Amino acid sequence: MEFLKIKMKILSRIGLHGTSLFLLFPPLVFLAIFFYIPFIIAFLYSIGIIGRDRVINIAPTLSYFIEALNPLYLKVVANSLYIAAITTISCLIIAYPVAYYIALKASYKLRNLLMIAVILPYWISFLLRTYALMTILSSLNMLFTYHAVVIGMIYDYLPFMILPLYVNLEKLDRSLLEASYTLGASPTKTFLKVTLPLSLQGIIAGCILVFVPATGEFIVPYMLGGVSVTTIGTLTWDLFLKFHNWWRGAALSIIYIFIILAMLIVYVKKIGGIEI
Amino acid sequence: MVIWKLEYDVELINITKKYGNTPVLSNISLNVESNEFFSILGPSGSGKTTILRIIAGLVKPDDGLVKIKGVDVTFLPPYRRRVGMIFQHLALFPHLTVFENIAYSLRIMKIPENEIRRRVKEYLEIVNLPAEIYAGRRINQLSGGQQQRVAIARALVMEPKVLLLDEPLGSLDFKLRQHMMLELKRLQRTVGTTFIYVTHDQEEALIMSDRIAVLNNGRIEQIGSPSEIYGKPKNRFVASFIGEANFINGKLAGDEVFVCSFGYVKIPRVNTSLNGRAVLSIRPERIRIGLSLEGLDNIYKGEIEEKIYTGSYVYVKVKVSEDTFLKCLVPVVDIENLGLEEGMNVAIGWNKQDIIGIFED
Amino acid sequence: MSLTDNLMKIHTIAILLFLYAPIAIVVLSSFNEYGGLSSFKFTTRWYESLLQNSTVWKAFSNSLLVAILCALISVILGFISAYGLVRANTAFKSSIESIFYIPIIIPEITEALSLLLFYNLLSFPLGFISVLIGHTAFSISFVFVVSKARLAGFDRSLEEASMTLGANRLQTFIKITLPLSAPGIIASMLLSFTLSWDDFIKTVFTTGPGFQTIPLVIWSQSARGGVSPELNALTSLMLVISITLSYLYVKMIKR
Repeated sequence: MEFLKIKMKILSRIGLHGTSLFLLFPPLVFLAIFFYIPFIIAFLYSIGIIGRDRVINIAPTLSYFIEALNPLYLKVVANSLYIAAITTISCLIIAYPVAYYIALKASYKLRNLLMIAVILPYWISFLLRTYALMTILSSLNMLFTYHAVVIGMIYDYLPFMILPLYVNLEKLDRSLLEASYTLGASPTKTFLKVTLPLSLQGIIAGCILVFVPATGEFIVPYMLGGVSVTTIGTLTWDLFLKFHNWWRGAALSIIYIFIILAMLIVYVKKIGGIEI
Repeated sequence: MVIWKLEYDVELINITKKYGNTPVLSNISLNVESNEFFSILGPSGSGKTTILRIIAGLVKPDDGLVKIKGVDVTFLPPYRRRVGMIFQHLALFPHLTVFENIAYSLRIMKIPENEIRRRVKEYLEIVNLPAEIYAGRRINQLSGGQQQRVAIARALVMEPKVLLLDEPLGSLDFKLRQHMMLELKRLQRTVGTTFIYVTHDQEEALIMSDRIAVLNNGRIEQIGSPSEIYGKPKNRFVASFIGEANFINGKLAGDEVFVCSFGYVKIPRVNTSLNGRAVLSIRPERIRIGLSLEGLDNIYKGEIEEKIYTGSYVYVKVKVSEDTFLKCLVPVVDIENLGLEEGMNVAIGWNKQDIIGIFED
Repeated sequence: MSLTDNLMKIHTIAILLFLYAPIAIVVLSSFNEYGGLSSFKFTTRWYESLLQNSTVWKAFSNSLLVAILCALISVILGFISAYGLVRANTAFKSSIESIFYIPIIIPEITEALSLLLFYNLLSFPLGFISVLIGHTAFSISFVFVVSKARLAGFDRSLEEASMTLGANRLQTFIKITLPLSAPGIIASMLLSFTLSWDDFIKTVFTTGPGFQTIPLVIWSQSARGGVSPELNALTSLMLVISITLSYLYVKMIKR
């Protein structure tokens, strides 16, 4: 009896008593093998420890990173960031009035209907929506141009901007606006001094939801831009699936991850915590 | 072999429980007899629900032993203890009918179908819910009181060794609560199973229990019958937690005298280690009030400060000295007969045995 | 309503039209004899030719099989991990949670290529299984998040009551936890199925010669020939399926 008691005490101290944690083993093992280990392997490829013909080299090398950081590729990275930025800002400008109208101005019944209408495209995959846009652009002879890509990016990412803005604006306390009016502020002033600052959280959330994935986007540039537009995404695709240059591709991906991490760290440091 | 006494239904021996570094229960020991209605009474956060959950096996104590009918069950999981429990929010299974809820434990025990049907019907009758009407209903179709009774039937049908009740009457309205209190008492007597009842409501404990354990901050203050707890509280906490009490600060001067701001009080002989400062306690209903009084051990003059009307009786607050006010409980008829009004000078008094205790300051 | 309000209203309607126009056009064109947008004559021949297209059928059955298996595996693994974590009492709780959250945050393309390299290193054959694994790993995280949210609101005292009534942990799980979690579980299955059904990026990186899913078909044909009426029909079908699945998901989640 004493032994049992001691065993139980030790286990509860570590927090391992009960069957609960054992349930976690199969899923964690699965994730470890098929999600986390592949990342480590990708990293090993990028520094050349895994070489051609699957030979293991002991000495890591930075040669692939140097290859990946050549001016041509850097231009591609800059281009991707640029497109992502244009997309984000355009989406913000277009989405804000929509979210504002639905959240604050539409009647209750209309609001539900409109939100469903906004969310519906969300449920349709990028591939299908981009194809749909392709049909119009092709008949307008606008395919395979830079503009087509930007339009496509905005088209695909718009719902990602509308939703967080709406969620944030919908929670806005109307009485704050009313208080502002009674204190003598015009609707425009109220918007600038009350609504806009309070919706900042939604704006930031929307920008992140659009910008971060947009940097790595390759469906839109490929389908709508063809060879005329190159982004990190299309470059990665080419390196992996066309040229089978795993090593440079891995290096490029690691660089890409670092860019994303850098963005997230900037966000956390400057603006505050992240909520999933 | 010496047989001590009848086996206790539940024994807790030196139970200790901490959550993190905060002690919730410290050295709790108590015994519950067979066929007893035993209440654990204490304010919120005193640890009473934890005691219940330890008896049920839902929580393991850090130290100490739990015995049920003489068997050490401290490390036994709840489903092997045969302890019935009524949860605070009842925890009736929403996806099962009334019948299936009650039959649950019987199905686990693999009892044959017709026996299940017989027992469920029997216990539905015991809790006054005729089977023909209620057996097939869903839980959300029942009223609060009816759900209560289903929860009780569900726990009793498996003939548990003891029934644990966790503040089950909290969400009921006043009249229903009164009714259910008598119901529970009747049930316990009929079925004969020991009930261990946890509550913060002293009225429930006093009305229903054979014995009460008063709990404060994880420690047992006193265990006794309702009249003992009420009439002979062991310390200030118990005196103030159960019922209303006046507390008078002062000093012990000799064996049978208590000195305070409004004079001398003759007190029953106390053999106490208390020397010097102490607190005298007397219940409002034990203080007599009148325009003039005689024949009592202790009589004082005072002025009526305030009358608080509560329905059938009135709390009269009397100022007996600059900083001392005494609350007296007076039936409405007496107020009217004596014409007691605020500002009036009155006499109040009591006998030695009306005092419920002298406690440390 | 003021001028600005009216302008916003018009803007909103315009944007909604912008969002739906391409979709509407695809659907309409799929019923058009002439394929394009100029003249219109109703026909179902494009759908009929789809039905006769063996590549499409093969891709359809592949998509279906992968999606069903992915849903089953990821829901089982995801749900029990959420169940185990909610009930565990350990300081590592949030670290273990993050292990499940990270796959959702990491860009899909990075996951996809890492898996490809992993398969490449092990000379693992690329095809049905490699794709299924990729989908499942991703889905487990989603199922975990959804299940955890549902289980957090689960009334534990129901399980405690079951145990005081004599049911052990397994019996309690089967008789009480599962039935009451059913809507959440079904919703997770729908979510997982939809994610797999629509998946493109992971699939295209981890697939092998001869193994195609519907999104892959759409991609390869549009990249080659661009827009075509048959493709319009296929896309329209996919649209309807996506919307239906999502609608069912929302209904389940609301329960």
